Amino acid sequence: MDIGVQDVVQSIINGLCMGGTYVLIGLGLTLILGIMNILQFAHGEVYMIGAFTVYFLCVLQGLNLYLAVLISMVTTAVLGLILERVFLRPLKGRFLSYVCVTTGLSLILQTVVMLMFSKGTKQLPSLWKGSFDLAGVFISRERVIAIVMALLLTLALYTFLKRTKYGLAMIASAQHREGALMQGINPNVMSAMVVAIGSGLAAVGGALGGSIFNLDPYMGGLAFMKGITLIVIGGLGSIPGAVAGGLILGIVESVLALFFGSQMGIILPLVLVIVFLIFRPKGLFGHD
Amino acid sequence: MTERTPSFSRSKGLKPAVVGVVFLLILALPWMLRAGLGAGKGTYWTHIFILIAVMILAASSMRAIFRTGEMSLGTAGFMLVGGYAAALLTTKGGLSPWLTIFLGGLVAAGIAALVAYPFFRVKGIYFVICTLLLGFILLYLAGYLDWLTGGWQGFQFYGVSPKITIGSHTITFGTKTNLEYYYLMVVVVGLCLFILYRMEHSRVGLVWRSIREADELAKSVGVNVTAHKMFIFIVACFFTGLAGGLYAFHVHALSPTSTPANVFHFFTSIYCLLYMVVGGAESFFGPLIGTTVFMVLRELGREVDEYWPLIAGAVLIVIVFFMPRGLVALPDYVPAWYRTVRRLLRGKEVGRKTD
Repeated sequence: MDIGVQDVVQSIINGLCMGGTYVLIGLGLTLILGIMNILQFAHGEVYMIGAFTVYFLCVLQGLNLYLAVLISMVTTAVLGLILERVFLRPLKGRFLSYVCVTTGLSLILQTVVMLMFSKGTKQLPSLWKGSFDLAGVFISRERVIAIVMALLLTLALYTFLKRTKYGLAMIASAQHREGALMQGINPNVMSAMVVAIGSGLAAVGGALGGSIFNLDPYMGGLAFMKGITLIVIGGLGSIPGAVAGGLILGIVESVLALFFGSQMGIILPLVLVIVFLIFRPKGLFGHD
Repeated sequence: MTERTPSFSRSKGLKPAVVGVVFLLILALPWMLRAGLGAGKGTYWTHIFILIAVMILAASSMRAIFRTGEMSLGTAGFMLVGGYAAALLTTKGGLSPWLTIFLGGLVAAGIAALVAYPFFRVKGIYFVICTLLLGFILLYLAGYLDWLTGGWQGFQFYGVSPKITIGSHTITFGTKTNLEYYYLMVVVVGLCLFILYRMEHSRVGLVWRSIREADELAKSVGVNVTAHKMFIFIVACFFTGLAGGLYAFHVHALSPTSTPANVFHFFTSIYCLLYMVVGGAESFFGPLIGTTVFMVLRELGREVDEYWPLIAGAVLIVIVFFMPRGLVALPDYVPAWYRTVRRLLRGKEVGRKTD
């Protein structure tokens, strides 16, 4: 097969757009890991539920797509709040329990969604039909929307963290839990906020991913893997790292898929993560 | 980081009478099943108990790693390596299944040995991530290397079974009645569990415990923490690979597909974790009881199989919240609950929880 420059540019742009959805999953995971020091195994399922909520509202109830995304973001954030309060907060500091409870949750959420929706392929309507044609490189408009939304939300999150009292409190809590506690920052409030925000972002990620791929109750597993991959590459707990990691992952994946087939596009990034974890555990942007 | 370890009354020693009865029950099980359910269903249930033995070995290996405080979710991946290595060495390499099942374990241990040192540079949740990703990589590789493994279609090798010839009489482990394979599993898994049990109750088991309770402190008194973790990781992966090989020669069909029904899929690692925690991660018998109870219940509830992950997840969460010591500690929990309920009924304030 002949691979020209155009193909490479095309796949880089596609990868960049895919990276946008990955960023939205990764942001939640990285925030939760940074502040609560747990790996949210059910985060992929939160993403999946976000996508299915949009499907339910938009396709089954006929709501406006963008309104549906907004509602899905809010309901998923509330779901996150409930999960944090009921399941995660009582377990403070027990590593095995966290792993068990979050994996248990992911099994439950998967099955609930699988039972609620009938089998068969489901897809969300396109956010913006058609594609741009830039000198032979085609960019589908929904992918442009995906990356624009991802960047806007990241920017909003970043502003929130750097410019508001609660955001600063959250950063403080992530940097030094006890120190933040002594400044009167309630770690429980921080945990609740971080899970809610992370879940809301994942829901948008689900909506964007769902308009590119088919919906399926097991879609969260792969999304979760992408999330882990990008936060390790970018640096655990770092927001610029998550963005850079997501975009790098998207590009690497799609370029590798172009040259070596889509399976290698999945395997090699995972190898990369292990290499990163071992030789540079703080990632590209981490500090520790 | 670790769970509090209550002193465990039943771990002081096993009563020989109890061991004997359980052993006899295990030996008589397939015959009891055949007598109770008829030959057809009895054979099917023997098959289920063979799978239970496979998962017991995998879950016990996972628990062995957990003795040092690290959690490996690479179980499914190492089972895949063991299974594929055993099957391929027999069908393409022409070696005897007896040798290849063992070699399958060794190949899994070899991969574990390659990754153990780098992996143990990180710990806690980062080690979990490493092993989790390794499991996925192995699964995808099995599909990707289609010249070796038969690719995504999977790999079947019906009719190849371990055999013993004594004089003119040949015993095939893999007949339609499943009986021979069941006894093979009893012997092999029993031996592996015995080794794991002896290791845990030896000096090295105490060292693992010291690493789990306080790794820095253990290091300060001269324990080579990384070496011990690597050692048990490699040994446990050997047993996991062995479980995979035993599984391969029972079902004779291996697949690298990423559907939850595939035994080499990541879900198996999750289920091993579940069996271990539900049975009781503190006790050696936890994974044994957890696996048996869970898999038998699942088999009994085949009609509601699509709800199964829901039930499993819910049970896991309930156990973590209300019975952190698992099913093995049920005899201790029930009186405590009884006292609480009685106190509540009398209208008194409920005191501190007993654990």
